[in-house]
Amino acid sequence: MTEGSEVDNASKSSLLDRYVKCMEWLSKQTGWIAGSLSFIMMIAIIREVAGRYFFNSPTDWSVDLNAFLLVGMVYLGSGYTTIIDGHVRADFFYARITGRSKAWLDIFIDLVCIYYCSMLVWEGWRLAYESLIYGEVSSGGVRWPLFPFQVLVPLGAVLVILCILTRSLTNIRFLMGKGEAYQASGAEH
Amino acid sequence: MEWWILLPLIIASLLFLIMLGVPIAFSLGALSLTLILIFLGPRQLILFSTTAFGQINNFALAAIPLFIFMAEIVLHSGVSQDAYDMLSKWTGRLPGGLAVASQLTCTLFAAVSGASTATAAAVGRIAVPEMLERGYDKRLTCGSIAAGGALGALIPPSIYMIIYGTLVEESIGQLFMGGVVPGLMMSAMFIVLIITRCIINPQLAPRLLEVTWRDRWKSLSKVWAILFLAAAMLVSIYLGIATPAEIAGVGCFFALLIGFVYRRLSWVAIKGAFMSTCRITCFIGWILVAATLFGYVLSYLQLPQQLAEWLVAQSTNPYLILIGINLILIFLGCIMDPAGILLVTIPIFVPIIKAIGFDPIWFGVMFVVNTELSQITPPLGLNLYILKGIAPSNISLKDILYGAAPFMILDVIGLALVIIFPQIILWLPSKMMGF
Repeated sequence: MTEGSEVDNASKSSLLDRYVKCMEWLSKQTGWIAGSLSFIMMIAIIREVAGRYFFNSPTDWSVDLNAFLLVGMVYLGSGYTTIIDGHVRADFFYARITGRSKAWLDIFIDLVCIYYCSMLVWEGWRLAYESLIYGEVSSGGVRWPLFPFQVLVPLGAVLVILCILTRSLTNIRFLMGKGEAYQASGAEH
Repeated sequence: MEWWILLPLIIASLLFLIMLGVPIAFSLGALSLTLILIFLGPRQLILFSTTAFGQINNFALAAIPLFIFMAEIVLHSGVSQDAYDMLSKWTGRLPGGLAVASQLTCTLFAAVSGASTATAAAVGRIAVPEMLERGYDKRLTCGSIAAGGALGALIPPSIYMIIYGTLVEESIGQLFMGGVVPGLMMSAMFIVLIITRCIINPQLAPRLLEVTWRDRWKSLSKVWAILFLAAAMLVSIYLGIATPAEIAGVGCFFALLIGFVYRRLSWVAIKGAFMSTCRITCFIGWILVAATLFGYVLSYLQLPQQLAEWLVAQSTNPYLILIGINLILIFLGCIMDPAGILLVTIPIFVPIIKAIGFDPIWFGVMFVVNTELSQITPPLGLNLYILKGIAPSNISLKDILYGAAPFMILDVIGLALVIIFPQIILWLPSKMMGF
């Protein structure tokens, strides 16, 4: 084998590898942002409670803000949760399967997930887009525009689909006889 | 299609997807999507966006990430080590003193943690090495902590009760209070079992060295902060002066403060806490959305209502139905995570419970008592695996399982007691202020 073709092979396979690396990076970063929202939640609640009991000046934004931050955490964090395989499943059958059948099963599972998530993307985007056009605002004390928070739903679903694709594509490559079957990257803890 | 054909078909397809290993959120979501397309028509697909946003956009649920974050911080702040040291000094003279101390540490940690696995991990990491080193029986050690850790879900705060309260629209504060007495009762039963076994067979637990009273009082000094945190949260829920989410936020702040004052919190630990908070909140959120969709579809098709009507029309003994529900929950507990079971079964069971005339608060707490068992039953007893991960490699899963077996019996007895005497759950909520 000449040196040239080796380089060629490496660069062909690395396109997918680079995509996997890129998604791992992206989902770790978004997961980290999502997790740190809990700190902002805490600060907002401290401000609200302190304001109410000690300074007699409750806020009109804390309740809404916390609910919106929760939306942010659930949907921004979905990429991280998916890439570390953190969604809960009953695995007493799944854990017993290995090799090629595992790869096929994973592809089936991925299709089921994509089927559901694509509907979240489509409908979630329509809801957010309508809010944007009609300028819908929240009904709490402060009238927050809803679009920036509603758009997190389709965004999170897209993240999940992109992360699931890393698994499917790796498994398809494995079934075609190249590379390894997919292994979820470990949780950062 | 008749409801008695449709409902079993739907449940069978759901179980099929879940058994195959499709994550629970996606099993529920994909099934709901298919059912909506078949029975409700594409116009109803707007349910997806309104649920995905609206169900999560809820202030009460903000308590979930905050309680998880707080437990993670307490776990890394070394407070549980101090609590364990203190309790083992006080229980040193009892037969099986260290096992009793770890049981009490579980109970204390449960009062600042919303989940079972966090409690088992926190106490196990400290108590297992210590107990084995002092020559405690390995089965007793691991089994008691696996069972005691499960109390984390029952003694308030409790993530499962927040989810239940939100979905069923019942007071989370009352649910929390409902968990106090059963939680303490189970804890006491576990301790009595440990002491009895150690009296009958003293080889299980060698006696400890003498501890002076001076040492005992001194050991208290490091623990008062966590005791204060646990007590303050319970009292504020009882008095109804703050919502669970507010209590969680303030609790987080105090946990961070305790961690910083003792100089034990590292940046790595905080980042790890953020990442776990993100993962747990995210998967719960996704299941919550999908389960709500599933619930909508089922009730649109009138399936749970028809099942409830049919059950009532059969005029069977309500307790028979209750036992049936508990058996289903125990079975599901063997293969699924409690949060998943809760969300999958609420749309079906709660209409039945209400139709028969049981109290939804009582049912919610009874559900969590039931999950005590599912945390330690194979093949998917999460706490068994957590203990397996902590214990040295010469302890097999079989050892842990044998050790947990007597506690499983106590879990069943506890479940029977709260069913026969609903007052165990309902007494404290009924005494709450403002209700």
